[in-house]
Amino acid sequence: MSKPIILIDDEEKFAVMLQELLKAAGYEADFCLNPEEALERVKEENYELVITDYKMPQMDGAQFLEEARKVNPDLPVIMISGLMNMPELIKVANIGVTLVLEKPFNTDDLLKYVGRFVHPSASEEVSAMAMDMEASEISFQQDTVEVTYPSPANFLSDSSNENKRFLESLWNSANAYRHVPFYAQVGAEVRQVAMEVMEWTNSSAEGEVVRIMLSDTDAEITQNWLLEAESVPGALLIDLRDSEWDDETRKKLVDWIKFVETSGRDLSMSRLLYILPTGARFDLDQLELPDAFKLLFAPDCPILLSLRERVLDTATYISRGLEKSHKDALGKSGLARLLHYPWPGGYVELLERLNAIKKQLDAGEQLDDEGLKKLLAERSGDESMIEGELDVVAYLKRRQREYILLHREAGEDLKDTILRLGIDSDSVSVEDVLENKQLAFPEVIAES
Amino acid sequence: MNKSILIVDDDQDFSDLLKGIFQQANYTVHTAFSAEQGFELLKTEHIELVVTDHRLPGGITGTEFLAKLREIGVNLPVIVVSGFLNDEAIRELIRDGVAGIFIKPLNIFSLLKKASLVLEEEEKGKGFSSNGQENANVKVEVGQVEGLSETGKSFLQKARNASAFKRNLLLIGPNGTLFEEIARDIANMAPEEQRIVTLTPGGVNKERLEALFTGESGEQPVTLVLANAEKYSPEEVDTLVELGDERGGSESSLRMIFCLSQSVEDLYDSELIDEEFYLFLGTNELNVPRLKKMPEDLLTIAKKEIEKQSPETVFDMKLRSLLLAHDWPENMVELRSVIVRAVTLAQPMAPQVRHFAAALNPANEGDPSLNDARSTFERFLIQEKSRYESALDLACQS
Repeated sequence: MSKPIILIDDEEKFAVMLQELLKAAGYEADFCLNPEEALERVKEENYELVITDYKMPQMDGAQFLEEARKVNPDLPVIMISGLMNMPELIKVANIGVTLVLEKPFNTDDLLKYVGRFVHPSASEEVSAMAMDMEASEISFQQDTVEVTYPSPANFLSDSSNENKRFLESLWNSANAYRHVPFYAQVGAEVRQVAMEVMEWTNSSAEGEVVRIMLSDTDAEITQNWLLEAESVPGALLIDLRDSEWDDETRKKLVDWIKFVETSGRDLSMSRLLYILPTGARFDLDQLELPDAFKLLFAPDCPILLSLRERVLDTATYISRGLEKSHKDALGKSGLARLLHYPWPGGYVELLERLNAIKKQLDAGEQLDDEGLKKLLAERSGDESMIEGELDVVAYLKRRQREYILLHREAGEDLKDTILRLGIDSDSVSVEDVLENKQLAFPEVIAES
Repeated sequence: MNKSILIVDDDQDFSDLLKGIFQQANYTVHTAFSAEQGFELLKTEHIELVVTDHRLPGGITGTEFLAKLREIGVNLPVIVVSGFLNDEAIRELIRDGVAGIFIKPLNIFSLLKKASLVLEEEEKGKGFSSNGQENANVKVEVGQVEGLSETGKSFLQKARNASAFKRNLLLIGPNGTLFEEIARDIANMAPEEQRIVTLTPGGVNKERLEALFTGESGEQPVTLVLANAEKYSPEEVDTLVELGDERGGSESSLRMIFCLSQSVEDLYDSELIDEEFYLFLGTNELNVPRLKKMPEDLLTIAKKEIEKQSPETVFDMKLRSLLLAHDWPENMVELRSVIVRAVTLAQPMAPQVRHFAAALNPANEGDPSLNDARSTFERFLIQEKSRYESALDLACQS
């Protein structure tokens, strides 16, 4: 199904900015840089809302609106534009524009109107954020997750319950199926996952993990490699994260599976691991595969959560990545700084920064908190994630912020989200929670 | 019939001019010289379109007039005519859904054209809704499926087509399908009012069926809904076949909906029904999709059902993801029972996501945290605190 909103702006930067703004509020949107192309898409897809610029080189917003009205007289169209003169405004008013917002516009205003026309759809639920939320929180056996895979895991950290559950699901799938899908974000420790599976298949985990981009699967070189390799590795990563989860991608996947299964290679000791993009909603029935091949495909898709949800795994990787001398040099506060940082770039970013830290320390340089902050900011460029105190309250404030954002309904005012999540507004100020000045439940700290 | 229009303008000359133009174009024209007068006329007269000046006496503007109309729930089309409008006012008018804006000096022809276009569109809009009303006895949902998902939409379409059946309809659904509700919805789509009678295995006999066609309502069409249709005894099947042959057919007032767990082909192949019954049933099949295949419908149905049981429940993204992730092997029956279980577990509070999670996985029903009145948010922070402390220890270990 198509996304509910289409954005039209000849300036890609602005379109992307708007797309992200909408996404953060829980709305999925396509964007189009050319209004002519957008018209074609409006004809083909069932959009619920158009948000368009007025001044565009191919046709202006009024022309676009006129054409769009012919296709769908009731389609809401919001125009966001720099200065429009009176005749232009009157023109679009008479063609039935729904709303005109002048740049710079108030984002809350826009979201309010978007919420009026677009309802959250089921497909929106599967954003990476929703997945984090879904997988991380419902933990009934708080401290004990019973596992049957060979534990502790050797490569992937299984300090967190989330990863224990992930590995358990993967183990069950890998025992029964040859093709095993899972979700992971870019930067996640997918090689460690593959190495774990290699151990399970009794092949040497020392060997290089082979990762194939799905777009390469029909390339001759990839296919020849598979046909000519001495033996098929115990685990093979097929990465789908650079593609949209659409018909084309599904066809590619189907072609690849057919190719592999009919290649004549002995695959009995191999597991093919598919890394799905976290926004996709994977459904085996959507794949046009012969039943015989479908039976080889694991029906479950465990989720490798983002690192920010798994502080215990972060700690494990930090502990593994640094030697005692490094830790001593950083001290407890330095290590805490690394735990406080949310690692948006995942394991890849963590590993890279640990190496940078080691390099600096090995060169005999000092790394105080300011130095560490600078080093972290070098890569992320976003200093807001690096600021703050280094105590448990500061960490919990970060987590509370993330929790509130995760639980925000599409278009909802964050204050309403906080109230809905059940804080005691008599003793805690919603504004303070919103501005990260206070914990929503101060007693969490007081109790110990 | 003449179209009726209200002109609001305090400039007598201009108002007369407009009045003349619209009367010549066969409109019934009402005039008001102030917003208040306008409101009064809207209460007493039948008015289909409002044309107003922007600057009105008493300091009220056309923008405010329109906003006020919308505020009191008047959604009539409004055209604003004005000597001058600033950009902000135009944007406000657009926001409140103005139908047209004209700047003086006025082009009479484009104003008339716009007025007739606007009224035409209103008419079309109404046409839609009155069609909707005509179709009101054709329910827009079947078994609570509103067709919000692709699969649901196609099911609804097929159900509509199938509802015109003359003789037998075979309703085939997975475990936990609420056959009776779906059969009733389909039977109710018939243009004539139906008597709907549900029969279950062991409940079919000649006397009972004959009784349907005697007495006061004996002439009224009947739709028989046969639950568990593969479970009737040979005698019952004979009775049904006999009745169908006698009273069924294109001119008949008797139709039967057979609720089945699999296609008649499969039932026949696995010898669950005999040849006579197989031939009698025919091939007019309607397949009910699995709930899992209709994610958008699943959410809407769940929302309604939850509201019925516990209106205080927050149907947030978290709960929706949980419901979407579940496989629902027992479909609607399972959905309803999960909701009831979650509500029961949470009593006297409104159920939270954890109660639904426990209801979905009974192994968790003994979890003491279910009786914990603290919110999930608070529990999350408590959990994160202990995780952070362990993580710090772990990172410092050498």
